[in-house]
Amino acid sequence: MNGSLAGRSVPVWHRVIRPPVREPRFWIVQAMVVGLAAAHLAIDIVSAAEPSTIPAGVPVALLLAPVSYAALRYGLSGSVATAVWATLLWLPDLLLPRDRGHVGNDLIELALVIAVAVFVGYHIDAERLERTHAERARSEQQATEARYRQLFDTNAAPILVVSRSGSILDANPAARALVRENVVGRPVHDVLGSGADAIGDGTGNVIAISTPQADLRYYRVNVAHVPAKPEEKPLIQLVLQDVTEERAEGERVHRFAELLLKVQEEERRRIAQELHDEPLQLLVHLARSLERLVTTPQTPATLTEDLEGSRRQTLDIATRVRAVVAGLRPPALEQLGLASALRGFLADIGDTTALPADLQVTGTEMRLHPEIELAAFRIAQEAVNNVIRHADARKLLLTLDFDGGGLCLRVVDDGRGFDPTVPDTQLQAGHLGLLGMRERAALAGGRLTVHSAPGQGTTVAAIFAWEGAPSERANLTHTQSGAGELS
Amino acid sequence: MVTRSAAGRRPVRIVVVEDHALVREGTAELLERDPGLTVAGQASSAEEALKLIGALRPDVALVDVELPGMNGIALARAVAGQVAETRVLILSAYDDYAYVIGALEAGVAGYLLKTSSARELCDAVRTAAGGTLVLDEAISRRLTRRWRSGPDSTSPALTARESDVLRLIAQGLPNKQIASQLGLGLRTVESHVSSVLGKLGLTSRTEAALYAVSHHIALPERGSRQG
Repeated sequence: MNGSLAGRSVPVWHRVIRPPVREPRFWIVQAMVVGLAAAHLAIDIVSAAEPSTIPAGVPVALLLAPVSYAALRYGLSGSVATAVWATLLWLPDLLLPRDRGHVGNDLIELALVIAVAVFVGYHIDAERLERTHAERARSEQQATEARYRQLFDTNAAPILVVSRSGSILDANPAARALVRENVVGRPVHDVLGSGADAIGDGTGNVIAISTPQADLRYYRVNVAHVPAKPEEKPLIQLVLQDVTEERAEGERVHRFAELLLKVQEEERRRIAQELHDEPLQLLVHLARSLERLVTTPQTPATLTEDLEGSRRQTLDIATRVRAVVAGLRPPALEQLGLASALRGFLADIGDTTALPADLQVTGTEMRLHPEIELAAFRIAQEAVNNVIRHADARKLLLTLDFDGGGLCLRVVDDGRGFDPTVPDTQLQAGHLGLLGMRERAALAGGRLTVHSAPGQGTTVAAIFAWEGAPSERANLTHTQSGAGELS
Repeated sequence: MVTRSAAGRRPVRIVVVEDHALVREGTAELLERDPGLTVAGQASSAEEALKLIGALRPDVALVDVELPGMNGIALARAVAGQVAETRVLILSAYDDYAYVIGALEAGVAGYLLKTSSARELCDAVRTAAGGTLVLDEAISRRLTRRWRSGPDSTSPALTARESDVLRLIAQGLPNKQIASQLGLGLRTVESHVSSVLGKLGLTSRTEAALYAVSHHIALPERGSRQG
């Protein structure tokens, strides 16, 4: 391979004026040309003296051999230099006194030799250049492949290369270490399960894989389409990103939030219970004692009015304590269940607002896991309070649907609505409402959705799947059980 | 409606069910001071009360809603099913609508607040013993206010027959007994009931009973009072 040709696209004339003078064989070729010129000169001199049987055109024709050889070996620069050299050596012969036709033949033949030199040399150069480019491209591709391979093999993240039809074509050492068996050739679904679904939409599903050390790690499946050979469809590369720590962190935050809510509810419950058990009962007792004093004949008449005032005050305090207790824990929720408690809540709302509120229950009403009941109640409470405070609604509807394998709570209003895609407006206004509701729903294993648009009202829906075993049925429609005996 | 207690010769026998000892004893003492009433027994839990009521068969069981374990409303339901002659009167610290409705649906004879005066309590026990639904004054006021502020604020005109039917609903009678008391056919009573519910914008017999009591349509029978 002639190194001077590699790479640069040198102008033709530049190549021509740089013959390969350092090549010994080049000089052998030139020596051949000298020989042929000498032979030709000798034949011409001899045939000028007496007509000869040797045709003078033979050496000229033979010139094609060194010229072609130089072209093949050294390209344009070699062939042109040889042709020019031959022309120069032919000059003495052309200067010999002879008939003109003979000189004409020689000139034509020399022109032919030069033409062949240029033509063959040029094409040889072009051919070589093309071959060099191809060679370089190939080596670059090899280098790229080697780099990719290096990345693929040394990457700590497990990587699988998958065909369009979903079978695994390649797995890097990290992937092989993770799944232990040889996965090449197997369908990707066998290895990744639901994680392989990510291939379709390109989103990062998170999958759990049990490692050879028998601990469970979580991976996000990142999908990339990588080019295959030309004219083939791109392959799919799945990079498994280890999100175990990230997930654990999220879980910790979640558990902490859960704990906070739980502690808060427990605390409220405890305070409510204590207020109910002691102060409230004692106030009731005190009021009765005072009443007794008021009605006892021995009490001086001057005192009865004061005592009656004290009794009323005591009852007033009792009523306030009762309101505090009812505010601390959902009244009746524990004892009677969700629908009853919500009915009571709406009745309380009806005492303080003019907003018509209705509760519709569908499906077979039953008692649910206490956590779900509490979450649903708190969500309804928050949603209804939001409606009253912000929605400027004319109507409010609560629905409880116990059908379809879960509980669906909806709070629907026809108020002014808002844009749920702008969560900041809520936070800026100081309302953690939606966020809190969402968290509550999530912690009880449910899901909260909000549909709203300015001027379109708002629907808050919380959906809980049956998780906790549904306990005894509430049987709230059992109205007439004792009615007969009452008469 | 003519019962032993209504005859007025024999004191109304009561079982008090309340988990708070001081309040329970206070209530018993308060009732005992009324010559027409006598406390036959006391219980601090629903389970205990059910046995006691089964054994003593009192006229009235005065029951708190919030009890440890089984609650007062469940107890009322059990008593209604097992001891026909005992009427349950709820005595609660809470005026929660859910409790009131829940209790009435369980077939209680009344719902009273612990903040009521001794006289109110004693009167209510007698009324309940007489078989008429009795509601705490405060709850009754609250319900009346609700119905007045509702869409049907103008008191709809019930016919005389419908008023009779409503009164009997409030006493907890099923349609069959209402029919026999009024000398009407069952079908006629059914149509009266639905017309009453429709006119008043109510959804259940319990609400109808509440409405009747809070509007003084179902007045306690004079005969059950002992002065």
